[in-house]
Amino acid sequence: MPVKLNLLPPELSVSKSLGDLLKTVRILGVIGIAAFLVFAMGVLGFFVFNTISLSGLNANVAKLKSQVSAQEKSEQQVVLLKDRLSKIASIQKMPNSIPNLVASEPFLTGLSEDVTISQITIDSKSVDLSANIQTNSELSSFLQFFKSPGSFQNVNLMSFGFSPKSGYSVEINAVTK
Amino acid sequence: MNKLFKDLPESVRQTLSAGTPLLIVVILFVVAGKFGVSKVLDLRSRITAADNSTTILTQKLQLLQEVSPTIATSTSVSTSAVPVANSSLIVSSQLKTLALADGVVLSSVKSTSGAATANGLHQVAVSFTAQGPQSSVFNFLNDISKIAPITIIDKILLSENAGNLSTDLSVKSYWADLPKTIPLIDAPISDLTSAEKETLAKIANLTQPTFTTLSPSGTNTNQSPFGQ
Repeated sequence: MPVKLNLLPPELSVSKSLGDLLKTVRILGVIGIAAFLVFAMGVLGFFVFNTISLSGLNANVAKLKSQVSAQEKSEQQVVLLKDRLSKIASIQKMPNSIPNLVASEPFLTGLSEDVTISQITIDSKSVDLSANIQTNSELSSFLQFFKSPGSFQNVNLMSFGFSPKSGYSVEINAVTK
Repeated sequence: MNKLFKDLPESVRQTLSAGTPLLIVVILFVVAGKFGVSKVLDLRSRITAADNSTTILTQKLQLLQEVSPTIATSTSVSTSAVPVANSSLIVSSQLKTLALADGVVLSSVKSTSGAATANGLHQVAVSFTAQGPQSSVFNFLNDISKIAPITIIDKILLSENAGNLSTDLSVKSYWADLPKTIPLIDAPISDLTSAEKETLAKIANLTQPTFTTLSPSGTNTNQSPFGQ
């Protein structure tokens, strides 16, 4: 049976528990150094790879910038075009009397000789109209136009008069949708 | 130092010799992690930025090359719709040309310029009287919206007199200065939206003003400067 001898002088020996702990610490140290070397190599490799990628990308960006600079005139024109189109869009949103004129035109062009339009004022919000109508049937068809759906949102009869000599006098304020 | 180390108790010496490499590794990890990782992250962010720039510039270049053959025409049409200088003369000229074509007589033409609006548009108001047969006047009124510069009718006052229609009109047109700046070279640029394309197609159909370029006359010598 082998005999375990400790030939170390007592002052150089350490307790068993401390010895086990130190052994573990030494192993951890070795593993840590190995891990650090792997980590450092990895970081270094990644750094080099990214540096090369970045320089390639920067060269590409510089080339593209010079190509875009060569198209400067086109770019200026695109900027101008977009600016004008945005301004046109805001002009188109401004109040315009044309829709009211278009809405009134079929009525105005279809009047008979018994109807005399004294005055019409058309703006973006409403149509003000004063007319003299000689016969009952024309008065009916005149009012029928404003009654038809789709033309105006609200029609106000501002004044209505009758004279045996000149017939009916009508003033209408029609508000558009 | 060496003597001091030898004088230490054996347990402390062994602890120090076993723990020092581990401590150094920990310190190296902390230092390398802090420095190396931050450098790599910085590099990655620069790569991402360069990648974005590449994408933006590629798209921008492609778009500019694509629009380059037609952009001059589109720009010309748009600056005709909203001119870069006071448009009162052009509008008056266009209205007179239109009136002539529609058989309407224009009179009392007055124009005034307004202040710039918030979006950089300058207003030009033109008022006038148009007289003519009913159908001609209606054609004229409808055609006003088809001329360049874009002109909108502010107010119409119609009255009938002996079969002729008389119209007091107030129209508005707009002009705007050129854009002062262009975007940075690596700023993205977008193609026209479908609404913008639609607007462009509409304004392309507007009646363009005709300009006559007068050539300078040659020198004339008065043969008899003191003659009758």
